[in-house]
Amino acid sequence: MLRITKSYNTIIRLKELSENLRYLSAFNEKDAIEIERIDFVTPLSITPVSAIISEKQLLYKFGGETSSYLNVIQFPHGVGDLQNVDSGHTYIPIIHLSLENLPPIERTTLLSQLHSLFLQLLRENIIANEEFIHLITNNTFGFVMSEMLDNIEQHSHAKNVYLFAQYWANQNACEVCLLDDGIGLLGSLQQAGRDVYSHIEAVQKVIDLGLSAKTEHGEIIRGTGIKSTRRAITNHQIKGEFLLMSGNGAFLQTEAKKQFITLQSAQWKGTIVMMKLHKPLELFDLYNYIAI
Amino acid sequence: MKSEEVIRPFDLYKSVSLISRQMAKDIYLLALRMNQREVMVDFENIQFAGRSFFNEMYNAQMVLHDKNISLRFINLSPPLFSLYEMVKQLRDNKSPKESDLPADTEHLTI
Repeated sequence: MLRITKSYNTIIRLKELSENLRYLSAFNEKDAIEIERIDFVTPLSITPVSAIISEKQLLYKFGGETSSYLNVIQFPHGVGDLQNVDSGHTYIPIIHLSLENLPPIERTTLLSQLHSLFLQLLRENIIANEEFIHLITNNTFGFVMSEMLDNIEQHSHAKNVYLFAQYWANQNACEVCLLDDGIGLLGSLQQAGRDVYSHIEAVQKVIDLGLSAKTEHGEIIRGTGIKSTRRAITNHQIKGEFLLMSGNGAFLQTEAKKQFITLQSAQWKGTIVMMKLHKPLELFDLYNYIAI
Repeated sequence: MKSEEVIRPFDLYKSVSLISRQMAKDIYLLALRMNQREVMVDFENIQFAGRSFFNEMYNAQMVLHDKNISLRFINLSPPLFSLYEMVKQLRDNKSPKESDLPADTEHLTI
């Protein structure tokens, strides 16, 4: 049964997500699933589950304490029309973009408009705490989101993109989950002719070596988007978390630790990114952390 | 060859964010097709432009320069101008001010 307990610990949430993905993978379109409990809604826990329930049109009943909040955040199908997104004071609802069969220019435009809307909602609603916005500067959120959306556009071949963000005043933190159902890191690297043979190897080579699918004048160039993003998030000022999951390989970085994680029982077709940013104690200068 | 022409990204994408390399490549192709000595990119209404966008834009400027086409930016807000300048500087000096984070590494199976 589907089960989401209350925890901010990312490894615990990843383990639970892995179990939920395994549970959901057993169902076909329009099957009925059972939800045992959803005690706590976090972007990492709920966005991938939403995407699968929505794509497979799975049926479910849930009347637990969080059910009204799940309705508010548009679980599971999300909002598809960017002109019609109502956010609350602590969240940006699940947004679902369908990119399938879009001409390249429209795909580019839609992802760019998602970026604009994300910043607008963040500024106007989700982070009512002006001090947070002032210290972290809106450009930091803009920067990390632009890097991840650029990766989706350039490499993912995704048909669907989901985004959900949650602000917790008691933690002074904002968590964003952005995911796609594309070919993932392994697919992208293999398509570009790189010698990579497993999801975890793909994740490790992207993180440790900056391996990318990009070439310039026939030469492989190092990817710097993920590197800059994790630097911008996991430094001693923001003290945030950066999680990347593709296939059954994952990577989690905090200020203190880097963890490469192999998921034994589940995988994600595409890429999941979770970014959690805390309010810094002093004005944050993003430009100290950007790499080219 | 005429003297100058203007590209307005906001009109192209109906978005205040320029986030991707593809957008810069689109602008490069437009500039090339204009057959002008000078092409201006007008950032009016643009609130955000990303590192990837500026990095690719800088590539475009270099290639166009070799073809005797000058690609200039106008109405670039001060924060975006700073980012563009930083991208240019980092192209020459690839290390950011802060070194890579000295994080311990673990391997887990869950």
